[in-house]
Amino acid sequence: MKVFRSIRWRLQFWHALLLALVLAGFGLSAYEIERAGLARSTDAELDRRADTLARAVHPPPPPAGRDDLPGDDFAGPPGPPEFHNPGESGPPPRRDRPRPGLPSLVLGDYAAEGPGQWYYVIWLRNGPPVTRSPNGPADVPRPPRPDSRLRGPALRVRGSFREAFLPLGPGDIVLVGHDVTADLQGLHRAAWAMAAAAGMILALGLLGGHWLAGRSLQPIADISAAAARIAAGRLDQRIGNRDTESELGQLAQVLDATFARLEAAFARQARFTADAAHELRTPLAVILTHAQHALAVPGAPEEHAEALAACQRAAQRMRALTEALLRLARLDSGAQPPDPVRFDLAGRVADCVGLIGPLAARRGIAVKADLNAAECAGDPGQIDQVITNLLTNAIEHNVENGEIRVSTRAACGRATLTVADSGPGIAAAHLPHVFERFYRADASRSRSSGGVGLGLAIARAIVEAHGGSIQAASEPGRGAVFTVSLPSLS
Amino acid sequence: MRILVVEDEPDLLSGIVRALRAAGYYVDTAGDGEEGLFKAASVDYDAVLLDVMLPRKDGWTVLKDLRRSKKTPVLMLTARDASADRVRGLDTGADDYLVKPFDLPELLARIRALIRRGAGQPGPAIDLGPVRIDQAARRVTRDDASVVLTAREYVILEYLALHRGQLVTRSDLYEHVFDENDDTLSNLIDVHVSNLRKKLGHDLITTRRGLGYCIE
Repeated sequence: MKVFRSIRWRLQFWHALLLALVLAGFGLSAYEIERAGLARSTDAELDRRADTLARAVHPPPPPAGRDDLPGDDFAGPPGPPEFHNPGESGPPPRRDRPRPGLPSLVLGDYAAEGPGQWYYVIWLRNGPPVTRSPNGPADVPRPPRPDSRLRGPALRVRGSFREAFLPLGPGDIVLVGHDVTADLQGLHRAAWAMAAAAGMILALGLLGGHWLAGRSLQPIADISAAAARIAAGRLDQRIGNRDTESELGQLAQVLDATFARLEAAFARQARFTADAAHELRTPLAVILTHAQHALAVPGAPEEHAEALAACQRAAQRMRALTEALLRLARLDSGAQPPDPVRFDLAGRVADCVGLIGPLAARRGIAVKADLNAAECAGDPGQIDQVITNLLTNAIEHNVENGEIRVSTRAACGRATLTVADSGPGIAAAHLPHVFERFYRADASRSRSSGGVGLGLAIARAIVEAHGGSIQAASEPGRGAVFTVSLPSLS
Repeated sequence: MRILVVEDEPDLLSGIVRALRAAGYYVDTAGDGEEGLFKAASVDYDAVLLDVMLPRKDGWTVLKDLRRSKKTPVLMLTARDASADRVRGLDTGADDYLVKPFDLPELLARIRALIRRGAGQPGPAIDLGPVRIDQAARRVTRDDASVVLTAREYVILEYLALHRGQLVTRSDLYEHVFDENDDTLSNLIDVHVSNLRKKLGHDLITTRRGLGYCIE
């Protein structure tokens, strides 16, 4: 059964088992102690009675020097006179005085009938062989002669009878018995009562344990429910456990932080996808509008040529965008660049400056290069991409007839490339975001001015894949400086 | 009918403008939010096409600022299609919402509907007794016979018909049937109205001397 494999049920099971063991151990001990105590008090009473009876049957010699007491001259082990059986052979006791029977005080102790009664049996060598109290069982066997080394009465258990016997001399034995049936019944009643109480305690303990287990497992249920909601797509859900002290509370906090990061990552991804779709939709709208209009309205050839030119610009824009997206996707997938090649960063920059020259010249922008040898390792094609993106960015965000300063140098085991432009710069609020995908620092810049908004994001992805870093710094009004730092040795 | 298109992508702007002009509208353009707001607030356009992502001032702000002074019908044009964006657009005071990329026929139909609703006209056909105007087909019939009108004549007739029973001043007409690029003489309106009377009957359009025109 699945439900019984849950932590809650296992806890409950072990809890119940432990509780039952403890209760059973406790109950058994209590029972045993009670039983032993009962036996001890019964034995003590048997001892006492046996002793009393023995004294009554065979009073001990009085202490020396106490002549005034009766029986002070009494010696030997005679029985009471009524024990004298006329037909009994054997020497009559010397100087015996007839004695009254057993004292009524003693006899009164043996009057009770029924279960739990005390009885006595006396075997006498000189008297009648057996004298017994009327309430005792009829078939009390004569006990064997006890070990003479024993002091005090010897004990035996015979069925439900517990008996103490005391030899008084050769052949004389006093036996006191007690029917323990009633005691045992009381003991069993107590045991049943104890078992009932234990059952109730067990039930209460189980209820409490159930509650406690549920309570301590509640955070797990909360976590599980929140995780299920999140798995169902509601990423804004949190566990929201306010208990920060307990282990599960801390776990919930850690998970909440993880969920928050997850949500942020998903939001970033969703924004990126929406941005990409947005960037693709505008050129699509251009193509659709021009094509549908050209098809619907007969126009002059030059008008159609204009429409085709607009469609071509839109298509090229989409091509640039899809290529940039693909490049980013490849970089995101973490594909390693092919075998790193050692190359001089200055040489790559010189090539790129040459390629980008016409574009800069079109806006009257001068590119000033200060190139020092700086060896680094990686994929030269990708590094070219970084350089080109930075240069294009510097041209796009420059003023007419501005300038771009490019420099490379090697220092402290790193190859550094800086690209500085003389454009309007980047406001401090935008600076941390310029490497984000589709982030446009210059909100007033029309989309018509060029890039697809991924150049810097691609540059950062490439640089980071090469184990380097890229930073932007700017003083508004005084241009922006991009610094790429690549490790010299791979 | 005069329409303002606010769109920052030049190729898209040129395509829309070309299509709208071919459909007989007089079109003004703005390339950013600030210019768009300035024009929309200073001229009574029959409709405004407003892109959401605009430089200088985004479409939402333009719409909000415009709604303080004008109730010009506004069609928002955007590449964002999340329903939250649509709701926001309509709640801010947009009259309609179109997601890029759109089909030109749909854009034109929505603009027609927008202008019609703005004038309180329930259907695409306007019945002026013997004269009927089919706005969807831009066709005018008189006693079920088709009448050929020039584009300008049609627009003047349509404007007067949409504002039936109201006095339409010459400056109203200038505002709605010429765009910022037209360079015309003031008496041209009178020439067009006189041509309309010749084609559709002299009783259709009455002149309130010194005030303007009216279709009763």
